[in-house]
Amino acid sequence: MSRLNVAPTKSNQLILKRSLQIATGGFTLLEQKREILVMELMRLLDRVKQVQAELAVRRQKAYATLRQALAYNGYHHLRNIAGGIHYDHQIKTSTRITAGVRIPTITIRQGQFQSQFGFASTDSLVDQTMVDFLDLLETAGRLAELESSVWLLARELKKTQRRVNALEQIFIPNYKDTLRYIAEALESKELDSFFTMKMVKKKLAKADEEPSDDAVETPGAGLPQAGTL
Amino acid sequence: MAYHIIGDQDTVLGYRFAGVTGDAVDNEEDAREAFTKAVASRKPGVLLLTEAVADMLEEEVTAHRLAAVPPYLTIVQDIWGPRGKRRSLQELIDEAVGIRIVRDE
Repeated sequence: MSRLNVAPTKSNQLILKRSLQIATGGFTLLEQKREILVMELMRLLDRVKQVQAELAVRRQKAYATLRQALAYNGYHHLRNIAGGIHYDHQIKTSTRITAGVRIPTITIRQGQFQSQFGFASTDSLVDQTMVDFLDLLETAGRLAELESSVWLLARELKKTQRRVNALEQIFIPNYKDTLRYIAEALESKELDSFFTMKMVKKKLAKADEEPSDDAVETPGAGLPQAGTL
Repeated sequence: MAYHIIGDQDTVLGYRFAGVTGDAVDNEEDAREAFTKAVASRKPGVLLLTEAVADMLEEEVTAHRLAAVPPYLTIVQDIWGPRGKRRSLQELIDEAVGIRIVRDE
């Protein structure tokens, strides 16, 4: 049990009540946000897995071809060929917003395979390398979008999680405890003052009664006594 | 710059066959310089990094990822095979969610 360090007064009680209301509202909202983020991540995860599997296949194929091409042709020869290769890849990026997170979307227009070097000094491995790497690149581009989204969503989820926890475990209990404490303190104060009031009333009543005792009852009650004496 | 790659010279050569421009680097300073330059352009595009480069520039890479600006990154293996165990996206998500939300197949 922990409570905030405030004086138990009526005005503090009102302020805290409002704070508790806001905290509870925020908690509900954040929890919804967290759920949305988790759902979005799970949806992405499926696609990531799919693309990663595809990438692994294409990568293995492309890298194997390249290694072979390197072995047959040598690095410098390949570099000379590669120097003349040009593809017109076009990439457009934009962002969409999910649960307050800016998520990138990448649109890629991939250049299509075409022969860009002489046939005389190259072998089929070079062609194959080009085809394989174009495939690989296409997948890698798709993965870039997914990967970036996952990173951003995961970070946001972490943040949200922390806020939800802070509200749930610390702020809301603190407010509740403090409110209970204030309510108790106010009640006992009320009881105190009620008691004091009663005492005062009694005293006042006594003070009121006494003169009337003197005036009315003493003669009536006192006389027979005096008489018996 | 649609695609750009930073990595060792063999991997860069491979991607050059697909029309990707690239910087061949073999030490941390060169890698950092190339990365900073590529990122500073902010042009829409995809920046490919080999695992070796990503490991060397871990801090910068993470910072750039979370900045959510283009170019967007993706990590590729270099052609001589994977380098040890890497943190997968799955682990990243697990860490963020706090629990495993999918089963291993």
